[in-house]
Amino acid sequence: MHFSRFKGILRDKITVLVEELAGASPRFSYLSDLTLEPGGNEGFEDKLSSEAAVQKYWFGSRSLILLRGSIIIPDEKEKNYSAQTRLFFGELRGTLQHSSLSVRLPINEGQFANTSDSHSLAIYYALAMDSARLDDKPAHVMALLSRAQDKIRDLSKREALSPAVIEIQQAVERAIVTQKARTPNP
Amino acid sequence: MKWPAWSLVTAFPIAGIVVLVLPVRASEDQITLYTPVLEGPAALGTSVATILNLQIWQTLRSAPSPNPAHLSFGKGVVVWGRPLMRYSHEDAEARAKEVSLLAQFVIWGKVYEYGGGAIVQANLSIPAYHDFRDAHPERWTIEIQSPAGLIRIATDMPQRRYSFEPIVLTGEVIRRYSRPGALLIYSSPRSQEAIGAVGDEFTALEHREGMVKVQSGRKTGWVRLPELSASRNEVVDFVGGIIRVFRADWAGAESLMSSVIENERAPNEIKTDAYLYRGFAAAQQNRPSEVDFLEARKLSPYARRCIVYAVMGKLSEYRLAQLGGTNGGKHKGDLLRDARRLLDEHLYLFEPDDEWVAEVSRELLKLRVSTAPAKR
Repeated sequence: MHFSRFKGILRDKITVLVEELAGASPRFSYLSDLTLEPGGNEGFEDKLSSEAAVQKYWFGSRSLILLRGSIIIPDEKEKNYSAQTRLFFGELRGTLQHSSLSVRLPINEGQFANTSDSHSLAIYYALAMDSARLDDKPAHVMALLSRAQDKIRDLSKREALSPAVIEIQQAVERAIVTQKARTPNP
Repeated sequence: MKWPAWSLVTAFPIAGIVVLVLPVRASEDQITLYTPVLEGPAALGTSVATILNLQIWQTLRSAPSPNPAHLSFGKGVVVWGRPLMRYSHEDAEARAKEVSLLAQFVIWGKVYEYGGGAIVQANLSIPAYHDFRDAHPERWTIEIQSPAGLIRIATDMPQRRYSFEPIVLTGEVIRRYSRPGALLIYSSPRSQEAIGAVGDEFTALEHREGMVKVQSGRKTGWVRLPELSASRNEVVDFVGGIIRVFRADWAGAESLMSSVIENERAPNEIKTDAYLYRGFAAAQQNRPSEVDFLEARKLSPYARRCIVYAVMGKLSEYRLAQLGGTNGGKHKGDLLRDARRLLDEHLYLFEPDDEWVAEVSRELLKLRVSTAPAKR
């Protein structure tokens, strides 16, 4: 039940996120087919036993991000279930140290916004790296990086940033410097 | 995540439709906010949508108070209706455009059961379409006299699709409003005597702090509006503020956008736009707007809309100076050069074929302001 609910929330988030981008600029309308796979309430059975297997699957499935993880049942000390997610960016890692980052977020109502924003941040970053990889105009990449920065500010407003978010934050800042450098001064 | 097409279609029952009207001069444009029932646990989604609906309705005003200039802001209407077919801005906008509705705003969303509680995720859609209004105050247009004649520079509102900070419902709200008929009507504002409950159809008649007088079926009385969460959410102030922009209620818009700015839990994107709207409202009242645009740029330094509004602010100050108003001691020419410099320094945020940049550059040339052409 926790997984299907988590997946439903993420699916809604992606729908709105893509529509908001397309609303800001028609150049983002290519994202209208971005979807959470598989459909339905369940996930794929995870048979990926090595980093190489994950990379191969990510590439072959034309994924933006591969989400792997589990719902952790609370022990005696913890009150809430948690979602442990490994976000695999593949070749869209940009300047992240590794291709994947791990986040663990308690499943409780107080953490809903953080869960939503952490995943939005990862999606904006991956979309920005995809756009940079395709050599899109700086304005296009910057629009995505700007939205990633919005999410970083929202996360930092609520609590100290997790190591994974700090790593994305630094990669976003480096990407901004790179994009600004691509535009000659008038 | 990967890229094949998908769709999610869910059917919902039809809810009642209610119109809440502020009486004003009939000849003016009507501004309509549509609030469909929120998806989610049935009674809770209906109750939360009703509460948000009435809270936003409380922010509508037909005129300022006091009103020495005899201003009228036109007709404001909140329409309540059936849920959307899909969780989607596009669906919300399609609903707004229905001929029977012609709404400018749709506030929509979902109540999620999550962890041990419940969350409201609210979204705002403001579709751009021909809605038969005579005036569009939300589009910032500046007219300046130039040696070549009157020039006109305009921009649309900052954004038209928003997601708000999730609202964590209190346990009390969940307990009380998860059952049908929980929004009680009292005989008087202070009475403990419940005379009925708000049904599917109701009309709001007047409001006071935290309560609204409604007519529902044969019952007329007062509904007390609870706080949905432990901390104040920004939804009501932000939506109410933009509605006031659409009604050219500039002082009123400033007031509600100030509340959004002061709200620590407001998302960065919403707070950025609250600064832009407040600066816009100040400029429309012939006051300086630069401070608000600077604050917006601090929050979102790489957002195109912040540069657009900052440039418009400079041009607005120039127009004011041209009319003989105050310009903070700045030379008029400096204001135009500042606008040009601001644009030049942030060209990387604009597409090479950005129509607004082309328009501003063309008009600034008429005002004899130019820099070396941008090489992009």
